[in-house]
Order: sequence, then structure tokens, then C-alpha cells
Amino acid sequence: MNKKIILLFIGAIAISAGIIAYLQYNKPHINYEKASVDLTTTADALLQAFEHNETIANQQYLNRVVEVSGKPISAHTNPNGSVTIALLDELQGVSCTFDSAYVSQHLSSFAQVKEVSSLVIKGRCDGFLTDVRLSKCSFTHK
Amino acid sequence: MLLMLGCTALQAQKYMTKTGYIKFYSHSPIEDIEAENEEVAAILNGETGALTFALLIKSFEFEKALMQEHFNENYLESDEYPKAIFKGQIKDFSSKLVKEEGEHKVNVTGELTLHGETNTINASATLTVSKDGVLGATQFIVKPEDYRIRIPNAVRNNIAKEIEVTVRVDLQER
Repeated sequence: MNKKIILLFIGAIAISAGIIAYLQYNKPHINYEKASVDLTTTADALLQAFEHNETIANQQYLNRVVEVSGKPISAHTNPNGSVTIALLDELQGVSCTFDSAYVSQHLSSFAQVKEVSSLVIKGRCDGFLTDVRLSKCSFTHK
Repeated sequence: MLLMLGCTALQAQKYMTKTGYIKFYSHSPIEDIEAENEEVAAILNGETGALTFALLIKSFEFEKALMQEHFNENYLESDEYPKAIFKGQIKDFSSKLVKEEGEHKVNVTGELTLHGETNTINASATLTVSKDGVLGATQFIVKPEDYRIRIPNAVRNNIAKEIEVTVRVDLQER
């Protein structure tokens, strides 16, 4: 009797571990459009933070959901259908990339980008090359 | 003298992108893993053939969220080493190359710094010159062990010892 209970117990643990491992392996990506904002700043301040001290800025912003406001300079459609909007400057500003799925659902917002003097964009901060890079972006004010 | 250098730099013909594409692919009997990064910055100096690529590790996208998490946190440690940089040179380069429309086979050599380690990379590449710019494409192999990337024993057989890297950059004159 005891042996049966032990076997059942071990079996239940094994099945639970299998289910947990399966769910972990297939867990979905973070939905950054719905994610709450960690830090709010301006494109100027964000760029200056990285230009002033990249190590400290990385500690502060890397992998965080950042809401940034700034003047759009250009909007470029990439080969995979994503769109990159440059704030402040094409090469030395803040680059915000919107996934193609988001772009296709918000075409009218992208059509108006060049007409507005300022945009508020939320995205994941990936770091700094010649510009600060935000990915998985979405508009927070349309 | 500084002014002269500045003028030379301004005159140098540069081809750039900040949305280049790099994919890596690992094949093993257990599973195939690939990740793409479409936010690669690249500059080709049209006078000297000097090449620079830079990318952010966090910009690699995986199909599985868990793989992306492990890649950033455990293998590439992207908080500590957020970038990968390649600095190299097209061998036997002539400035005429980027002015002649058509497909040119070239050899590239340079240093790849990844995860805090630097190694030499040699690769053959194709430059396709058109009115729209220069399209560069190449493939080469990197070994995780060369870049001090430690794979835990539990998943050692899931990840190839040689990773295939594919590069495609659409460079525009600036």
C-alpha cells in the first residue's frame, strides 16, 4: 500500500515537473505594448545620459520599458516590415523600432508621424550604438 | 593639421546603415536554434575599404522567449557585454570597386569582439553595387568557446559547437 502511494506521489511530481518545463519552454514573449512603463524621459535626456556615461546609463535603462518624448526626424520602413522612427537626429538621436505586426495595425498613426512636432513612444531600451536604441515600440499618445 | 584630417574624413565616401541584418543559426540533432537582429549598424569607408559593424546583443530576437532569456542572461551576459563589434578591412580594396555596378566577390578580415573576447574573422563576401547603394552579404562560422561562452552540461548537446552567422547589409552613401 505504502509503495503504491510513493509511486503515485513520484508520478504526480514527474507529471507536474513535465508540465512546468513545457510551459516554461513555450512561455510567450513579453507584450511590450501592454507592459507598464519603468522610466519616463525625453529623447534629449536619454541621449545625454548615454553620451555622458554609457555604463551608468546601461545600468539605468537597459532592458527597461522606457517612455520617451521627442521630435521625429524620419520614419524608415525596414525590409521585414518594421518601422524605425528616429527622434532628434537620424544617426545620433534615439531610434525607435516598431514591429511589423504593430505597424500593420496602426497604419494611420505612422502616416501622421512627419506632421507632428513631438511623439511619445514606449519601448524596450536595448542600448547605445551611435544612437540610443528602443525596440518593441508602441505609441502611447496618438 | 586637425582641420586637414577633418576635411579628409568629410570627403571620404561612406556607406552606412543602421538597420543591417545578422542571423545566427545553431544546428544540433536535438534542436535547431536561430535568432535575428535587424538593427545592425554598419559603415564601409569607400576610400579605404575599412568596415565596422556594431550591434546590440539585446536586439537578437528568438522564436522562444525562454531561449532569448537564457541567451541574454546566461550565455552572452548582455547586461555586462551589451555590444558585439567587428572592425575589419576588405582585402585588396580599390575605391573603384564601390563605383562599378554589379556583383563583386571580396575577402574580408578583421577582429570580432563579443562577450569581452576578441578573435580574428576571415570571410568571403559579396558586394552588389547599384545606383541605390552597396548590398553586402557574407556567411562565416563562430565557435562559442572562442568567446568564453559557457554552455551548461544539461544543454550542451542542444547547441552546436560551430554557429553559422549570416550577414546582410544594405549600405547607403552618406
